[in-house]
Amino acid sequence: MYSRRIVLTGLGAITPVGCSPREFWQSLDERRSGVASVRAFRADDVRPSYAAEVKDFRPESDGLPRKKAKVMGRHAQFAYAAARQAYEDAGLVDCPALDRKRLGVVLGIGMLNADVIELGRAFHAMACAPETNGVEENGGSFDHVKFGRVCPSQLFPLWLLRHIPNLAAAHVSIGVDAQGPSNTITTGCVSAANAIGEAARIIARGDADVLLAGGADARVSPLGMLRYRELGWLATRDDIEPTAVSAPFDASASGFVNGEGAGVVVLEALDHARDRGARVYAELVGYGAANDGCEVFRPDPAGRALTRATRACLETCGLTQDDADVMFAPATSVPSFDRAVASGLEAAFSRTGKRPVVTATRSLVGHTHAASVALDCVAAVKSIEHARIPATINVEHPVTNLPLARGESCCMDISAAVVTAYGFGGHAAAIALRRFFE
Amino acid sequence: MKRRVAITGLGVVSPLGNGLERYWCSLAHGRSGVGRISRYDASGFPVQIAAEVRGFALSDYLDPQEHCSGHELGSTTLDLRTQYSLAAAEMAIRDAGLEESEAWRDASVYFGAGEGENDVELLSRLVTPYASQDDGCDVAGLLRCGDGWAFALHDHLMEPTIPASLLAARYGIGGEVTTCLTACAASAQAIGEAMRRIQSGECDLALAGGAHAMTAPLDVLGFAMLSALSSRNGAPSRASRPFDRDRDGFVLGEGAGVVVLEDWKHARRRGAPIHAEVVGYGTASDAYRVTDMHPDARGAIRAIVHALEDAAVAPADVGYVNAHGTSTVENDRAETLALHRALGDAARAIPVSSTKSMTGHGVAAAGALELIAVVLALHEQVLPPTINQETSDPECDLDYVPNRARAHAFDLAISNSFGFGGQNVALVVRRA
Repeated sequence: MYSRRIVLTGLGAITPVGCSPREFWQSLDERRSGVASVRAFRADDVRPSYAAEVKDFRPESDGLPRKKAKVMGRHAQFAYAAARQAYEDAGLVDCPALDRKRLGVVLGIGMLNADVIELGRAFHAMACAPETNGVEENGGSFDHVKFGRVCPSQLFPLWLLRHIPNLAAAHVSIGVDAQGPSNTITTGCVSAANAIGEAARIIARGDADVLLAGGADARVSPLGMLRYRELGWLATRDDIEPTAVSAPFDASASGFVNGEGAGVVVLEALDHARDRGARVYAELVGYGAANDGCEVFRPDPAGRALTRATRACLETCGLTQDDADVMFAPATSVPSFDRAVASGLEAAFSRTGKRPVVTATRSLVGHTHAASVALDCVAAVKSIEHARIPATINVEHPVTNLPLARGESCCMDISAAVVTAYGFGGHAAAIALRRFFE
Repeated sequence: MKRRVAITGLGVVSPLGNGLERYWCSLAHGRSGVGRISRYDASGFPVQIAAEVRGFALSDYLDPQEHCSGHELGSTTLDLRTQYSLAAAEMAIRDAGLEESEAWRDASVYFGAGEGENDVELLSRLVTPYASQDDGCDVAGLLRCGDGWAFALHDHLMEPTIPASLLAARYGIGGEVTTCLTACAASAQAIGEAMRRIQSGECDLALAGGAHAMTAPLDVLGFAMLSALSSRNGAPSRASRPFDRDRDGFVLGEGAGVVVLEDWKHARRRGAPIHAEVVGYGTASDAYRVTDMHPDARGAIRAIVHALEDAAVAPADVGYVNAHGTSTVENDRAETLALHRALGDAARAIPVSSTKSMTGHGVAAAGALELIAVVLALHEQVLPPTINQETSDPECDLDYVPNRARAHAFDLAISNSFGFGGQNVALVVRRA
């Protein structure tokens, strides 16, 4: 248990199924998939032609001025909007009880791809410009001299600002005047779990009272699609409806559906939340993290780091497997990965007796990478609040004997939810949330 | 009661030399690591200089035949940042005498690593056939093309998490493995956070530090277009001149710095040589602008004050400050102000130097490279200088240890790292 109790007092979500926590939850609850034909670029006859994109995103409605949005990557715009929602939801706007120096930001951010549209213009201009002697000098096929001469005039002068990973957190800090600790964590799809766990520690050790924590990612870009398709991780089926493609834990799974979004929660010391009379959604009671320490490019088939992280998380808060009612699993619909997740979670809950109901929201929102675990935390809080577990769709022939939530969303009184994370690089983490009692 | 944190291993790959001896020798002699960019012809670029690592071969540190997760470590597909990380970590682990230790199983990694270098040549090969002035790029054409594999692998290996993950795989590290990316403060923040993990008992042993190599074409161009870099192309070794009146921007550098952090008792029990003790960590944000420091340095001041409080020491106890000192007009003025405010009257008597005058700006690697410089300075009782001090700036009025190293008896030092975007970190280190 933390030396200082930590509660969640605000939520924000920008997702493929809605641009607020309420819409996000409703879509999950009603099993509305966010997978559809790609809109960001023309991709009619390419595979895959679908993704889980954020639709109807209007940064202005979340207080982001146009001029500011121009120097932000799409992921940073999502992060800003989700953070702003969480901040307002927590009642922190103009809150006199809030010391800005004890308000911090920790975000999980993914890698940012080059923008092929912008680079395309630069490369085109290069191709049209006369040769220099640069090619012969370096002996390669690329003329660096010409690149240096031609490209600056073709690129947006501040383009680099869209590609620096920590600037999403910097924009959030500026937007809410958070002068406390700031960190940006990049551990692939586990990023947001580490961000939320590290944020909780900052509060527990007394270095801040309120933290905006979560993650954001936007890889539904041409290069993002190309990368995952070439690596063989992306589903490319075109014989079924796009909404049926993302099938975590199902025998038909063929790869993940590329998604994007951002999730942010407000973590707050309970004493601080009480003093200002804040509404409390849930309590963050445990966190654990581990690494496979053996594999970098594929998961350990036994998912051992996931088992250790989950156990460590439950141990820190004194929960047993009987206490966990629901488990948000990181299964992405990549067959080998889902099997590793299943093995890791089965081992974590190996004792006979009650086991938590398992659900995988990626069946509906696709794989949102560095945002995924933050979105699962938002979903877990909503689950506790509404006493409902959103179902995993597209599961007909499960590859695990874990008790999966399938079919319709089910009603269940939830006192504790565990959100787990596992990803490439051997990273694993787990977060335990509990219904709040005084 | 917080546990004490010992530094028991150091490893460095830097523009001033690879390995502790060469690194210190250059620092103590005030040598510049800055030169004309050598890896590509930068003569068409607005900025043509950088501090590059020279004479580096991963095979000098690791067996190139060795495989890690099915990946040949000596392979050229590993980017420079990752190669530097592997070499620096191996040095640090040997230095700590922990090559064969079982203790790594429960150890932790906290790394401040940037993304790998973008291969502009590869991107050009991929995109140019589909490029146009109007649409920029025929995306459908690009996505139909069959030869994306080289790009996909390159992009995958560029992930910031790759160095830390490879270290975990190589040494069998099963505890928490974290990578943070807070720009120029990243590796200092990583060391501070790793220190917290040991203090709180989450682990007894951690690899911490960082690596970055932002000397590739797109990075140099990007920073040049932000007008952040010195354009003193004709006099590379004089380009990085922190606190000098004629400074005109920073010089991009590269490298890796890795430290082995260990619970004090754990280190003592195994009879390890203790290089120094990390005693304080402070962090705070400017929340001002993404491209500028707060003019009153509000975040930097609090980072330094918090670090001193955390170490339970007074400003007068501080014997040396290794400055962030980037050589931009703005940073050096604001940092001077921050030191005055945070250290009060003691500031005037405390020598401050910027080793970036020699190493250039290692970005995510900078904090770790500088912490290692501090540890070596404490050990040698010699302060590395700030080189290129020719004309004083009235707004920069501290003792910057100009141009020559100085013998100095001291026990406690601060290392400042201020990240682009406004994250400020200060670490306090005590002589063992």
